[in-house]
Amino acid sequence: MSDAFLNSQRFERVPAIERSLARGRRLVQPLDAETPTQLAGSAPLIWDLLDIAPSVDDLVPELQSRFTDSPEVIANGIRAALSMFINSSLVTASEATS
Amino acid sequence: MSAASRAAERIASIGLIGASTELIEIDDVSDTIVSALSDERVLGVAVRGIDQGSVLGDDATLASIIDAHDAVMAQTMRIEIAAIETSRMLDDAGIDHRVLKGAALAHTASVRPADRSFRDVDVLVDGSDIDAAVALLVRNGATRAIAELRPGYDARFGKSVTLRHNGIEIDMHRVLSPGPFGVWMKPKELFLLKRTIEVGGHGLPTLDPTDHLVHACYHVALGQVTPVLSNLRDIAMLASSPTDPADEERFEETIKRWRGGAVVKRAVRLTQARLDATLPQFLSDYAHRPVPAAELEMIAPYLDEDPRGRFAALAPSTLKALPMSDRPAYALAVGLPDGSDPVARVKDILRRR
Repeated sequence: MSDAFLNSQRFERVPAIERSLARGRRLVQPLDAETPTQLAGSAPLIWDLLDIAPSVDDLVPELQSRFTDSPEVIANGIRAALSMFINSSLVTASEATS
Repeated sequence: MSAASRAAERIASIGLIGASTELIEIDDVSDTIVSALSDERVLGVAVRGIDQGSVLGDDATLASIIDAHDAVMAQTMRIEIAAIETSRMLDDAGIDHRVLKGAALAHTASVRPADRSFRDVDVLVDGSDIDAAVALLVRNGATRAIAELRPGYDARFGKSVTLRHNGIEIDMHRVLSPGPFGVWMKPKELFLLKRTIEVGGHGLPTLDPTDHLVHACYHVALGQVTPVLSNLRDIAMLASSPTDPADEERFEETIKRWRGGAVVKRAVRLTQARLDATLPQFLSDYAHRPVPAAELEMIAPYLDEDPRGRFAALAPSTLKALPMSDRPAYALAVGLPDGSDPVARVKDILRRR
């Protein structure tokens, strides 16, 4: 999945159930999925933020206020998480209109 | 009692009102603690304790607890989705229902849902709807675990109908417990106050906290001879919730109307015996409150260690508790079940819990 594609999309979480695991990890399972997907590292935070920050551009400042990494490093991490969400069918993506 | 059981009791008490806040060291029970926590269904509380630093042990033991919790949560989520699917089906068919026990309590009487695992789906429907609810689930692929004893038994006398779908057990309840205390309760009252919990974008209808507390007491006192710590913790959590407390007056009135004083007395004593918690006075008073002999003697049949023996023991006391007009039909259904193979039907009865 290219950076350009991920940067151009808005993401929406699909209806799913969740459970917190030890060490800050999270299990997320869409209602139509057979098994849950495990989120670790910053992925649970990005998952939570998607409701208020549905694009890479929206997410970067949210994470910048929490981490000391550069915007480029943060954006790379966000794109990696979003790719995983897409591959696990945790989100739907649509072209950002603005 | 083993050291691992004692450690599990301390862990099950984490965060309860009145519980010790001392750190819990599990080094000396590292070889048996995972199975104790799993059997008592309190892995989630243990994991929260590990994360918060109140449960201490060697790395390997803590990792084993965390791994076991990961696996239990994956299974619990499968069951939660089955609960949502069942509730949706009933909603679509216009059948009023309430999600009971773990699937509801994980979201209402737990610090976080991951504290509370559960192994099946429990749903309450009105007796007049149980045949339609069971038929609906069967049409959607579920199978009954045990055939109905005689036509009309489920709606009139049954505690619940157990179904299985994709390896998951779904208990469709008419009442909250079998036997005489099931006869004495008034399940229609459980539909008067509804709470809705949002899970996965679906609103699951469930009981209000007072009715959940009543049910938790019945489940602990009558559901198992030795209830697991998770069920005892439910009572402590529901009774002491600072944000959504049970209504003391309504609890007492319900227990009086349902003739459940002996049930709550046993539930409270079991909870106090194993959990390090201070129950609110309206509940702890039951431990020493005298109860009518008629109620007390009805507890005994529930305490048969063998579930097959329990069903057989409950039949005479159920008969005694039923109105005279219902006794012939109940006796016929239990004593001479419908079907062409009487031997197989008797085996069915003996398999019932």
